[in-house]
Amino acid sequence: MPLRRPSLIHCFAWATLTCLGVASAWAEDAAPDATKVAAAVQVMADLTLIDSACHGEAVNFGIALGFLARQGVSTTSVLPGGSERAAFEHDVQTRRASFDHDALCGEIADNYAEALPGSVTLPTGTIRGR
Amino acid sequence: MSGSHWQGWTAALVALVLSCGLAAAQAGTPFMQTTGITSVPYGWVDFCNRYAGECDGPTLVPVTIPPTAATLRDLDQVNRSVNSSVTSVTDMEHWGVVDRWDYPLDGKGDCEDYVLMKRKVLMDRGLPRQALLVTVVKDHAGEGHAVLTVKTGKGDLVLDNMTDKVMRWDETGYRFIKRQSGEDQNRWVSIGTPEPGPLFTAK
Repeated sequence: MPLRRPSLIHCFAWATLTCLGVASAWAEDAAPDATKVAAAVQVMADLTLIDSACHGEAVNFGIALGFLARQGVSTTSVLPGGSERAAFEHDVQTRRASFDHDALCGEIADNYAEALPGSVTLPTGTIRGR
Repeated sequence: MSGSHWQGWTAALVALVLSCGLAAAQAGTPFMQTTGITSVPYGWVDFCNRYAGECDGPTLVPVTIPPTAATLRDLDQVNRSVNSSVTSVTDMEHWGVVDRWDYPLDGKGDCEDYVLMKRKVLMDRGLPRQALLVTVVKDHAGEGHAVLTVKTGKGDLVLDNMTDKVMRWDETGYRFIKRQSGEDQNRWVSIGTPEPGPLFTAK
């Protein structure tokens, strides 16, 4: 069974959720804030990557959509033609290039499962390494 | 030929006549006739599981949208823009499965993904959910297909990824099988004579 250890990439993903203020935004009804919107879009990009690349993990996009909504961003803004689409596509491309498959489906998926409960369901039998 | 054999043929003939009669009656009428609750497509259930919250909401009073020039322009614009902004791929090519309903986050999708996006965009623009109904049909080749039905005072209009033209339902040439009910998006109703739905929608 895979033992997932923290890594630089894991810490980077963790920073996405904490240092950028997304985790706190989740608990607050804050006014739209460019940084938090960017972070929420980044979360959506990560979950999209996990969904497309990882066969074991089950992604629930509803969590991320709720996240976007809390930043005052509608679901359609990240869909083709939406106002955040360019940022979303940029995040998907850059993060696809910077994450390798094992990290994405390991540490990063792990991180989301913990930081945003319900967003990613890990395969049965996975042991966390933290 | 035995009596029971004749009875079987007679029953089949009556069913065929009734079926054709209802289909003929529906063609040329602006509004679909629904004929009772039916099964919910697996794709919708799966979508609701993966997009928690998107399928929630109370039971609502069904509405039709006033067919103002602005609304019709909106429908036309959304149909065209979504058709052109999403790249058409089958679920098998995309996900390796026969049917998966999704918002086209990666810019790719098939018929039901276009439908879900159009529905979402139109709801964002203020149109009521009760008038925007995901609908399963059989296309001209008899294959499963999904379109968005918009209930307007002018009739049931169809937004379809196979055409940029918004048409009244009875002008499409499709055989309409089932759609969401106006009251509850998680209840589906048969259209016309109930018949088995397609196993999947894949255009």
